[in-house]
Amino acid sequence: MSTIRFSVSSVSHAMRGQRLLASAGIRAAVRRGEVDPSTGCGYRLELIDATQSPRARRLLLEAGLLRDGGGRR
Amino acid sequence: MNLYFDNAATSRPKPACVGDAMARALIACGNPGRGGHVYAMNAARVMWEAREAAASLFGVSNPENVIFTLNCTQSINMVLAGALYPGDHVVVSDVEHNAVMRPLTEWRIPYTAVRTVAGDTAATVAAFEAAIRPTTRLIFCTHASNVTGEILPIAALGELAHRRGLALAVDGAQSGGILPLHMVRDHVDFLCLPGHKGLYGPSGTGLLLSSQKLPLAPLFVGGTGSHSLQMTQPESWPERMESGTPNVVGVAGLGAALRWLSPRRESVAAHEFAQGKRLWERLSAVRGVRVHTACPSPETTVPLVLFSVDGESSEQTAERLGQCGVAVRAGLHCAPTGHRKLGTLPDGGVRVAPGAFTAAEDVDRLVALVACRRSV
Repeated sequence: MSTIRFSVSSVSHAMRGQRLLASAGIRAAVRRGEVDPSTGCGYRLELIDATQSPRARRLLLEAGLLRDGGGRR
Repeated sequence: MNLYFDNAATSRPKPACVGDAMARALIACGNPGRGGHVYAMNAARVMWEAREAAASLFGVSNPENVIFTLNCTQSINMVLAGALYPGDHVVVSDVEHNAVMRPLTEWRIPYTAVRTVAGDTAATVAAFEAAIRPTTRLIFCTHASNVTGEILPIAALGELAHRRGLALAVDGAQSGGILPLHMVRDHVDFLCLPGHKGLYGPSGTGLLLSSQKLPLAPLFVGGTGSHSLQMTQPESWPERMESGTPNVVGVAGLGAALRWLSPRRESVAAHEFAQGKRLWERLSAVRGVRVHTACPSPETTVPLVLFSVDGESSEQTAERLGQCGVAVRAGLHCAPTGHRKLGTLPDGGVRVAPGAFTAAEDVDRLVALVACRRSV
């Protein structure tokens, strides 16, 4: 199964996002990789269960933690 | 015998969990936001959890609006430097600490200092309102004076600011952890706090909480661990306001202190007020002692007492007590405004303030030593 990762703009966004998803029952890990040019940051939220991707994406977008179009495999 | 009554300067002792958290952070934490390894992530988590604890205690919905600083003075500087445009006018009280008055003076910010009326909310609010000009952008006032102990009606001033389209900034140095304050309910836009007084965190920590109603330009700019190709400061909080390596160990201690305080804030405050009242009553009964402040009570006066001993300067009294192992603070307390209002210039006074761990017996021993005039 491919991994779903959401690029965020800062480590604080990653922490807030992780908490937000956890409160919705979605487990996500905070990872750092190559800097995403769209965010200027290398931090990402990596979903433990990729099937929850649509719901996670919606929650992160509503919280202002994702730019529209964010999220990639 | 060692008695500590300088909690208005910094609280001690700290709860045991504070030192424990700091020791753990020293081993487990690296630099937050600068890497993906376990030490960087530990640090990021410690910082985040401390933000959450502060946000919860003061009614901030988004922990990203909690900034860590070195102390309350730095937080105040950040607001005065970052929230105002040239020509903006500020309304302050007549009992502000030098942390507010010196930036206003040094940076030539136009201001009006309003005479507050202790215990009279309507008169105080009316005085603030009368001082508002077309160029006023901000009301900046202390929640409680570190000299007079007077509690200002922050909620009413917040309502005034909100009604008049202004922002309210609060110096919570003497109230944080002692008096209830909810940023949304009380219409507070900037709350400046020391981590090391009523919040029981370590020295070298402070907080700035923002409602985000008024934009704030950062005072310190530089590396934030993100957007490194961008030569301007990132837009998103908290990184925008926290350049450079933070005091991770200090914040770890502060986070532990906030989590210790949160479930027991009311009981700690009640204890401090009770000991403050005991101090006031017993010192007031000593012949030759003049008490300059009102009796501590949650409605009017925070738990500190300012007094003088006939025939001694305040420094002489403090030295005498110090030789007996008692820690107090004498002089002007970085707030000549408050002493001017009390009429205690130029000598000032001796300030005593109980803390969470002050026992009634400590109060009684202090009073006995104040009353004892034998040279040591």
